[in-house]
Amino acid sequence: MTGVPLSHFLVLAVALFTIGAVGVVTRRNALVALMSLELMLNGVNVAFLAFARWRGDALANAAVFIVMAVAAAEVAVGLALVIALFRHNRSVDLDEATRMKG
Amino acid sequence: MTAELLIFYFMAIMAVGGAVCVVLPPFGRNPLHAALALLVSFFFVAGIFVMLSAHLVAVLQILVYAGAVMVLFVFVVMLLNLKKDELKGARWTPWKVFGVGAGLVMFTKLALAVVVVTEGETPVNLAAEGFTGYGGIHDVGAALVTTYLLPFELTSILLLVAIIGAVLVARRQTGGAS
Amino acid sequence: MLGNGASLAYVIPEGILGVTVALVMALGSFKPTRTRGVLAAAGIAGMAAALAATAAGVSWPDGTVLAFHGNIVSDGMVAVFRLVFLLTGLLTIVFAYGSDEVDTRDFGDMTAMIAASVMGMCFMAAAADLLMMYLAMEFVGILSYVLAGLKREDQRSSEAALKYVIFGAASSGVALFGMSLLYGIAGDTSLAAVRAVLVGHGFEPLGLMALVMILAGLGYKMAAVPFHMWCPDVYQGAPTPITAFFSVAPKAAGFALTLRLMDLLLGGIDGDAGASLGHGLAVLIGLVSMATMTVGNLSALKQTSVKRLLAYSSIAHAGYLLMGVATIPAIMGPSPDYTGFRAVFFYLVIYLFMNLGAFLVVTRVVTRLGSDDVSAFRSLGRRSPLAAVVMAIFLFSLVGLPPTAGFAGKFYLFYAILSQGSAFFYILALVGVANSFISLFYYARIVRVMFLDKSPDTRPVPVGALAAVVLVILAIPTILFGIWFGPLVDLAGWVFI
Repeated sequence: MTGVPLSHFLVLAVALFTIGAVGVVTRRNALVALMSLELMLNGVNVAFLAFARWRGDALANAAVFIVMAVAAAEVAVGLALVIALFRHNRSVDLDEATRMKG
Repeated sequence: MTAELLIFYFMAIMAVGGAVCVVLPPFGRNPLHAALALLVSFFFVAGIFVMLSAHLVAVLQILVYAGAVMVLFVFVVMLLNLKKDELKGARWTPWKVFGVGAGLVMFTKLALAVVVVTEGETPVNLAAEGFTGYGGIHDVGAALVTTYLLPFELTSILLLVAIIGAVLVARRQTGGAS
Repeated sequence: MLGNGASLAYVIPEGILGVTVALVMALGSFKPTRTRGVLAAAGIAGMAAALAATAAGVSWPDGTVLAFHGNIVSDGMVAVFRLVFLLTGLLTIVFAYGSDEVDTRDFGDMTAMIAASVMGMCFMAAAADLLMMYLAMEFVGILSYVLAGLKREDQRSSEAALKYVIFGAASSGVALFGMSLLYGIAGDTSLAAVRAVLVGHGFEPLGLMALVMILAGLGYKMAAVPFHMWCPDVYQGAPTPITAFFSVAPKAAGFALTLRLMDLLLGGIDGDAGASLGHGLAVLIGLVSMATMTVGNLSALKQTSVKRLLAYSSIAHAGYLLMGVATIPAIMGPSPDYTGFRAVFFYLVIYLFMNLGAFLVVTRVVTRLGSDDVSAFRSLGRRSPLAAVVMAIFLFSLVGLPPTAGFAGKFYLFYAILSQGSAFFYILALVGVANSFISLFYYARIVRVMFLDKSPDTRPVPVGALAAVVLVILAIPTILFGIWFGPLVDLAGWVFI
């Protein structure tokens, strides 16, 4: 792929990562926050693979494989907690879930 | 403007567009719409992975992310029967404004740094000796059972305890045999 | 660098823990063995076996061994940190056994999670590769999210745990992005390759950003300012034995990983690039330390819930520990001096005893009286003299008053900083002393309430035989190590020989 410079892929990775990060901080809906988290990790994967392609290093592909598995596990636990919170609050709004103060 | 560059721009714009649709309030109000936007984004990211010759990872992106993780999200949205977010207004606390601003600053800094550092780097020629099969199952599989064997095994244990943990956290109080 | 087969000998304690997890899950599957006693016994037996093995020198090489194709390091530091993690896990299972905050139906799963968590922490202390670091961090993290949400019937618990997941995973994501950038610069995920780049042509500017991102992710785990927000809510929402576990073990693991990262990157490094990076990091970590101590101590002053107070105290102690981490300039150059890093380990061991002890008293009070408010501790001196006296010992040790071990720990940390010699470190030490002084007020308030306040409720608070024994076992080192700290200093000597 000689047509596309490395920087293009990396800017895409940074873009996905940043959009995801903004989403995690800003969104009130817990599910959308978890989705933004997945975006962040996608950005990371693009960065890893872009660097790997430019060096011909196949190890990074294995690293991305493992990162995907970890992300899936994380999401599973996160969604389980969303369900647990929903049982109490009847909503998944994070701003409403502020019983604790101090 | 080669064909490759055009394809890249198309896929990148679609991927980023999907991402923006997940995050921005006007679009992402309905969690189901947000999930579908995320699905679109994942699909085009898989395309980007193919452009980067990471074929196994691209297929896994479709199978695991678009296939399993998104199904899980849609399942939870349906199970909880979530409607559109209440139109109470975006509630822009100072904290959130700071977050968005910091995000923009971080993006510009990182993007600039990345562009500067990677000037003039040329990719490895994959048709050459020793690089054929890059990104395919053999290469990745070999890495996973030699160099990355310990992380691989640890990940499998992680998946097990994560499943147990998810069940532990979400099950009802009454009944529930362990 | 060892291959996979030969490396197995260096992860035997972790293997024992893996077997423990499987054993507890198996025992929990059959009705006859699904009792609190059996499951606790299995968990404790496994931890004790791993503890005994480590103490006997299993998987404890004299020098440094790079194992599993460079993924982990095995050396004395890993072994001594294993002791910390295993002891904490073991005591947590004992606390949980006697606490009514953990349902019997959940007990087996909880024990398995704790054993798995300890295993993950051992890998956190040993990781020498960026991917392994991320994986170990996430392993411990995901298990922490689950343990935090254990009290399903308590709304605050689920809420705290959910926020913990979202922001914890986000901070790990930030750390991972930094790791991907470092990989891009270095061409390989091993830290040795990153160090080679540092020595070769420095880090600016991308590498520096990447390193800061990684430290941000680690800072969340250690509950350093400004990533400390999750700490009080999660600590208050979790069952008290789990809170005790959180306050010592994952924190210690986070510090172990940070120390390891600093050593692998900058230990004994020559050259200007490394030196400027090291000094920059020292200032950054020093500032974070000052902020963390101050925020922790000032916030603790107005707490009425003892669990929340101890959470802020935990944040403050992370600040004190960061002082030791800030002694990075000392480890660079041809003759590295690891006094600061050793002081961190020394303090962590002492912190284990005094903090777990304090939390055990809180566990008993919550179980017997149903509340963790300061008012519940009124006239505890009369109603349960043993608990009150040891609590006073633990609290005075947390302040750092002589002759408790807390004083010895703080003394070692201050000594390590002051021997750096520069003005910045003098200021850091000054802030540390001032903060210890401030902390006296909120710890002493509890002591005063226990011994001087009258309570309308004059029921005695029986502590229970098992808890009494454990309390004494924890209280003895808290005083002993204040006077006879030699052996502990020797143990700390294993941290980066």
